[in-house]
Amino acid sequence: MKFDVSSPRADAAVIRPCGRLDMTAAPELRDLVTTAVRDEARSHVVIDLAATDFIDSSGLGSLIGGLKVARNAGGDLRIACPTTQVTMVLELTNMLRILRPYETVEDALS
Amino acid sequence: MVERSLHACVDPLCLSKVHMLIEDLWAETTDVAVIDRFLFESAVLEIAGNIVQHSVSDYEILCNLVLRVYETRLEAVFSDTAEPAIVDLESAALPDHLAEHGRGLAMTKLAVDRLSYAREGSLNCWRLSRTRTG
Repeated sequence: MKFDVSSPRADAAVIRPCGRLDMTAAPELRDLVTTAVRDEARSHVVIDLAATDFIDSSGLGSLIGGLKVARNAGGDLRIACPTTQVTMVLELTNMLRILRPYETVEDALS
Repeated sequence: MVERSLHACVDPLCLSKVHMLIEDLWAETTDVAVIDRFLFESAVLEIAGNIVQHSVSDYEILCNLVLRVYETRLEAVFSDTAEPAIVDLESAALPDHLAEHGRGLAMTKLAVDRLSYAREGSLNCWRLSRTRTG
């Protein structure tokens, strides 16, 4: 699993997982969010899921973990462009209210 | 009926093998509805991940997975050589929204119609079945 990280503005980070966000990739996502929020003061985090083919409960847990880190720092974590499989998992687990998907990264950043 | 099987060591790398096995299965069974594919794959990978996560041992643990596509249902059977699993399927439920763990079995139960665990001889056996919508 590869992660692309970008910083569109001083207080924000966009993290794009490429591949399967599962138990093998979830720890790295948590680390990337923690680094962005705590080390770089980028408390507004967007997870761009356009290239996430698959998410499981571990991947979902890492999004929740990141959300808590961001909110504890006065920011937020939002998800954008979820694939069909990711949307299905969010629906299955009633997580769409807490992880409301945005259509674009730009919408999620605004 | 179309069948695929995998015999592998239980480690995180085997999860990719499970994904590839499922992709191979769908390549031959193109009439399985997308929603069935997604939910069945999610359920199978949750159990596979559960086996990987809880199979901590000094010795190599092996797992056999058989996937079957029938006209009206999808089926998966896991058999692994780990110590007996401590499983309470009845009480597995979705946790609080902000919980970071504890969703896997509940997700699996929601995605399939039948889920069972049994210790059969020296093997842990998981069985999943989903009725096809199309």
